[in-house]
Amino acid sequence: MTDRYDLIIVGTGFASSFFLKSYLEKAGTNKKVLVLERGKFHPYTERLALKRGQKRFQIKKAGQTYSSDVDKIWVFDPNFGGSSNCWTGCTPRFLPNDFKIKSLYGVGQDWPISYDDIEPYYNEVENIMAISGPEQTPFPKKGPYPLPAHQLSTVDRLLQSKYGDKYISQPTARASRTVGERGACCSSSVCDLCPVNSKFTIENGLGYIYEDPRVTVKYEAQVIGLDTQENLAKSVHYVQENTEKKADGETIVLGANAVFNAHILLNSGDSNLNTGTGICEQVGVFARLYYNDLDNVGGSSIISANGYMMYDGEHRKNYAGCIIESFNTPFVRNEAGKWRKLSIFKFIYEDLPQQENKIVLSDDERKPKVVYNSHSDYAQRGIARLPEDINKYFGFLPIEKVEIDDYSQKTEFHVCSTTKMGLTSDDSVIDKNMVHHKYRNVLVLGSSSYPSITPANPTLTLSALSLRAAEKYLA
Amino acid sequence: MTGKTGKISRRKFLWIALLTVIAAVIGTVAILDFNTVVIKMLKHDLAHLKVDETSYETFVREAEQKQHWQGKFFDWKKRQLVRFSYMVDAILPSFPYKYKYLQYRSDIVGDFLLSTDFFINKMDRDKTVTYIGLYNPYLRPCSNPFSNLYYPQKV
Repeated sequence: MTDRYDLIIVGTGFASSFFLKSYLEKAGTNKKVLVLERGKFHPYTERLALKRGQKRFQIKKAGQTYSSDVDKIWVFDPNFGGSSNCWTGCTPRFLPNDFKIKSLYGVGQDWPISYDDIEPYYNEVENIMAISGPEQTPFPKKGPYPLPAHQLSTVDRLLQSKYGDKYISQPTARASRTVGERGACCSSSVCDLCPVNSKFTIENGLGYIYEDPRVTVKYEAQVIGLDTQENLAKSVHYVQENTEKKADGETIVLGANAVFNAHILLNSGDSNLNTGTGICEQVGVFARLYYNDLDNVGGSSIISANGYMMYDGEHRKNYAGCIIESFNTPFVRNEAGKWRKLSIFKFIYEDLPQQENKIVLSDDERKPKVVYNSHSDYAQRGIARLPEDINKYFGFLPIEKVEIDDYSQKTEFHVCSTTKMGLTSDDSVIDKNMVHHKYRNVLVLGSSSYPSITPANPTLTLSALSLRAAEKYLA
Repeated sequence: MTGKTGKISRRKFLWIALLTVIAAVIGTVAILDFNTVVIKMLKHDLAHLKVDETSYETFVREAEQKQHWQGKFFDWKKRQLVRFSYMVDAILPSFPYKYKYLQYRSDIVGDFLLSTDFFINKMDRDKTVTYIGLYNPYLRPCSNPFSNLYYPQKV
């Protein structure tokens, strides 16, 4: 005998939780919801005790959950709250042009929705997360952010004076003021677990939805695949305590990350050729700017600003757009009296999903395999221009020396594009409302849906997409 | 040495010199573990400050006890790069990844200073710098000395 539910949700990260929040608000009081979480619930207080050396226990890491034959790593947190446990809380919106990169610049793939379609949901997520942000932004925005912006550093202020709304205090889920049980961010710069619980997490922001009487949460329950019949999914197979179990669902929502959403579909026999292909993320490169006579002080939060000077424009026809992050960690310059005559910037380039980078099945049905060659030439062409671009955009500062890493970071902590959204199954896996092209009662959420990934951090957008998906599905 | 003249050839001399340098580096690396290198670097780089002599040892000991270096700040690979580069730096004016070595060296010096009262004393060079405890933002949050809390924006 199997359990039967109105809704079965896979995962408890941003994508699942924002969908569930909206669903519970709109669905009837008699609904029955099952949430299957592959990991455990490690409360904030326990994680904090671990960091303080007051407790000892193991938290399962992402790398233990999939196999890969290359040096590339994909980072996420396979436990309750998903990547909200390890994210830094950066929440820039995408730009309107990000949604039509093929039409405008002839590269990648357009989204089946526009900026205007998602704009109301951006507002809603920003309110739920209590985002701190500036008054002027490079993207259209109706109304102010819920919390005031973080303070720019002395160097940031010079850059903002020159570039206006293309250089802004970073919009962020690291609260600039105390809000609810969240403290005010005080630049401790260890955001994977904030010492003052300033950062929005599923636990501190949406934990209450999992206490709703309609919801049953099963932990350490890894979903393997779906039973499908014609154009519907009937049930979910999962493993709990080494036993395979099954639950029937009217609607099934995959809210795992881009590795596991694709893997579950592949395990279910999804024959769409796009399923699993295109895994990618942004590519980040650090640069240090040493100044002759300029102290870089006074910024607040771990990343004080975002630069958009290299983000959007005609150059995207030839090479990748880039968002800039101004770091405010307590780094020093190892020279007497010049302790802070230094900036550290991270230049983060968009990548294009490539067919040959993909999720495939392995011999172990519980472990997907990631096949990844490298990021695109498009991204690499952007990176190759960095010395020239730093000179162009930062050259007016009193720079003594520039050091650019001659390698990119192993990860940007964003896994994207393995179940892309689009108009037809020829170029995508799900439709504009995130419903699978074939299995019409299956929704696939999260950044796996991104047809193009943009230079910006994905979390705000994927959360907004989840709110939109719930509303459209229940309409 | 050549049989006839009693002089060594230029090629042989270069080989002997190279092998001597390699032997010296290997010998030194074997002797100088990472903690010893850290102390030497700190003493050299902070010679312009009045640092309480016991601070260096205490810092290194506590870092070892609390597995500070093994954490994300300095993994094994980075520590070895610092060790080798420290030796090579004494011999060669330039070498691959020297810039990265100097960045890591800055990180170590910064980490040490954050573990002292140097920033609490507003970077006053005349005051003795004393170790106050390994820098851990979870035990001492809000202590980023360059943040807005210490440099509030003037309105």
